[in-house]
Amino acid sequence: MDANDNSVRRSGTPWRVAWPCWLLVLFACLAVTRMLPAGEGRAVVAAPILLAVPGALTLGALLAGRNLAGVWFGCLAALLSMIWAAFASLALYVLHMSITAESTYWCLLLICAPLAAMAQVRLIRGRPGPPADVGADRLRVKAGYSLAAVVAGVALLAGGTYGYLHVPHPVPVGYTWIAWSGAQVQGIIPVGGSGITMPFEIEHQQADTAAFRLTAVWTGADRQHSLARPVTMRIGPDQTMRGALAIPPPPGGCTYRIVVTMTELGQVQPQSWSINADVRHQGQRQNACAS
Amino acid sequence: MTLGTNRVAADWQWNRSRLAPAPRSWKNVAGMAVAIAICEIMGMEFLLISYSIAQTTTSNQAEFAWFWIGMILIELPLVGIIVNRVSSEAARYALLILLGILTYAPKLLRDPTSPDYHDEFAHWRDVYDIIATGKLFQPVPIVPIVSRYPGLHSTVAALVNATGLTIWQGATLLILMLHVTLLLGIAALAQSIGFDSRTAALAAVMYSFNSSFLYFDTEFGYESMAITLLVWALFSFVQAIRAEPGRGRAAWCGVTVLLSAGTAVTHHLSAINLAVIMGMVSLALSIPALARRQGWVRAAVTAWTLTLITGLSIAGWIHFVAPGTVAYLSPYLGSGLSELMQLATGSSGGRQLFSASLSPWWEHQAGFGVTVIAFAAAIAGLLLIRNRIKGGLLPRGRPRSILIGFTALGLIYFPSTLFVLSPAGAEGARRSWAISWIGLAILTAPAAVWLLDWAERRVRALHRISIRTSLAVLLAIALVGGTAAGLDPSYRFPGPFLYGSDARSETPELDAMSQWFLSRFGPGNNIVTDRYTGLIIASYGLQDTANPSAGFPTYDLYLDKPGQPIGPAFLLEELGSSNYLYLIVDKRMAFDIPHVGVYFEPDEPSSFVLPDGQPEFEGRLGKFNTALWMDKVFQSDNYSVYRMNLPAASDTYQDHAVEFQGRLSVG
Repeated sequence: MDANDNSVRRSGTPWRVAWPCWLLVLFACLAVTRMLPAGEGRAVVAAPILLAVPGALTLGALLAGRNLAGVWFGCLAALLSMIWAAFASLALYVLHMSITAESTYWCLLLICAPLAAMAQVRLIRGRPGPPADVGADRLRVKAGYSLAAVVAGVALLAGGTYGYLHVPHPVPVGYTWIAWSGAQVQGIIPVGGSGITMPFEIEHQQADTAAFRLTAVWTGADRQHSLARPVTMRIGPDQTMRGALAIPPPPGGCTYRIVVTMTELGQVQPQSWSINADVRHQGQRQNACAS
Repeated sequence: MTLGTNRVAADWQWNRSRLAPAPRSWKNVAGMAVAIAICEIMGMEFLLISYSIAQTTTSNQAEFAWFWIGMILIELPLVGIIVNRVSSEAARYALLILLGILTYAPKLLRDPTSPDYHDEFAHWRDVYDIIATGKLFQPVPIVPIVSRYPGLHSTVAALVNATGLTIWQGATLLILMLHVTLLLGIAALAQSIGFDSRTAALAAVMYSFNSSFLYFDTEFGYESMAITLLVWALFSFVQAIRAEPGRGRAAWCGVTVLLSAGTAVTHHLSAINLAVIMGMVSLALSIPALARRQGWVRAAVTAWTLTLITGLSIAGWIHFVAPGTVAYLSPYLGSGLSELMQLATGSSGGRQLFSASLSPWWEHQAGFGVTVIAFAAAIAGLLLIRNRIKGGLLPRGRPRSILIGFTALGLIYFPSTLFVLSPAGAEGARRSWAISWIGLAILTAPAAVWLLDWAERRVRALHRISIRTSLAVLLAIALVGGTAAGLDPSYRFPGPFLYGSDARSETPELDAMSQWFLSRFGPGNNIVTDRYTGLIIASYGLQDTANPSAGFPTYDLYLDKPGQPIGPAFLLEELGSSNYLYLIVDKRMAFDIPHVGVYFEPDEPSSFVLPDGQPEFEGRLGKFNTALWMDKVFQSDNYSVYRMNLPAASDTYQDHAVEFQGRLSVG
């Protein structure tokens, strides 16, 4: 027991005597916050702990006994906490451990523990501080100003964001697409003796119903040849439609390029969409094509 | 007394001029608060109006007027109270916090729900990969270098893992904190140099007028974190130098090393800048004419040691972890310098400033005006320093050396503005201003405070009001011009689709294509596409897009004329061996010129835009429909997805009519 102990005892609240230990306990409680539902609710509790405690303990370990303005302390604590989070990830990477919520938590807890111990030792060994209540009111007023500024700023920002998200926005430009579905197209598709059915999908993300004509052709080295009777269809707003092209085994051993085209009807300059694929009779050798 | 505030401020105050005691005229504080609150709410409302107008139009300039009225309403009342002599230190810093939060609004409201800017997509992808794989350094196709600097990404990943927020929510929270902390950091740095809280807070306000503050350093990017770390590393560096030898100095050295190491793993250029600034201050501390005083050698040794540690940590990181950094950075500086030389010798023309900008003329004028204002303020600041030195108010020693070091940093801003005339150097110059304005704010803030006090000494109210109004106008010009000199309006304002704009290329159609691709083929496919499609397909789409270059000219695929073989052959071979399976084509390439001037990447051949203003790709994209080694597996209004079957097989296609009939069905 010495003068320092007395001064610490004299200085009052359990918080002032052992704040590093309390912060370590607080950080350990980060695990408990996992019981809260993920999202904003948990963030309100967990984010301040994650983004303040490791840094505050670092400052306590390094700068104990040196007064630092509250705002500066807060800023440095936040930045150092971010740095420790990054260093924790690096440490996990070097140790070939996966970076997860749990591993990061344990790693940061391992960092915080010695920092808290150092800060606590320095606090106990530190020079006698002023009595607890001297300047406390002034500190509270300063903290109150900063807190009020944060609350006012965040409220305005949140209000602005809410307002912006809820004012009418221009309707997004719609679109239509067609794509093969089913088995993936990977090079020439072999067609067995019973033929093949090639499914496709059409999505119409527009405000209005539209009419389309579907056609299927096959092309060889040059010209197009009809492959199937065209189909006319109407698709409503924001609707998805499935279709299929059924083909028999292609004649000979040649490769055929088949093209499915969808053309919008009733337009002065009709837009069209198409997909294609190459097919060949599975049982035929390619040199049969030349003959 | 608190370290970093009153102790150093007491060393040599700038404003010792004899003024009457500050009038305690704010009897009605509540009334003042209400007035401020109304201004802030109206300012925010005007921002909303501005963005709502911008969403529906490409060139209506009303959005600019609403925006700046809003920003002036938000900022100037707060600045007015911050610089008032009556305000307490606590009130000033609280208002700086408020200012920091509210100046995040323009970027946040740009799109509160998702990334918008080019690099934001790369950082989003990197965080996603860390969370999904549990590993750092996963390759990021959009900007490969970002994955080698995981400071920001691993912090966001830790936050997301701990809270369950989405990546974007976590990033927004973190960037908001960093933005506010940056502003406070400038004030802390200024105070650690020796300014009183009023001058220090004004330095922070003046720093906020730099071109990166409102948008660039608020984006979800590693620079946004690194600039804040840099400023606070400088703060603790100055504290270490100014502390008395012993435990205090050692403690601040420890904080400096941590913050420097944090910067080194977060962003290359910021880390290098930090080492350079520390070197400049160390040099100033080593000049006897500036620094000679008791203990100056030890202070200089401390400064050089910290600079060396910072330099070594950066060099070590680059050497062992991010060796691509040098190759990534060197073209910018090299090309910028060479273009500037060509400009000086008249062998080439420079950039036309604001030539492609959608912003109004008065923003352009303010953009030029801010340099003039900064120059005048810098001259005033230099004169003030000279007077202080002559008057014995700034004796030899550490404060003088540190101030001269930061003054030199601030003066770099003026020659750097020349680089704006060079196409390659412009980007680098603009980015450097976030750094040089640290020094410029420290140099000019005392001059602004001196001017305010000089105005206060005027007996006639008309004179006082005129001077203050003039100062407010100058601040407004600096605010407008500083931002206008930074980012293009397509970055600053939301708006309709703009082809070839990094910030306005995302459409529901592109998102749908990207999601279709992901659900159909899974993540991690190698893809060839253009820059703007690649942003979405490589981020939300989780695919790996090619990075075209002279050695891997994927853009050549698009250039071949119909009827010609698609090539070159070595490229097809490389695409095949590297397992590039898909090509995505945006048909607008054939008839639109990209807003940012490039289709693929900044170093692509300039010939993609023909002299008549037409794209070289016109009439050349249809060939993919008939290329026999490609299958078109998807088409939407603008996008086509082709499966490339490489190496191309020599198949024989049917060349005459045969009986081959199938059946189409829908529903």
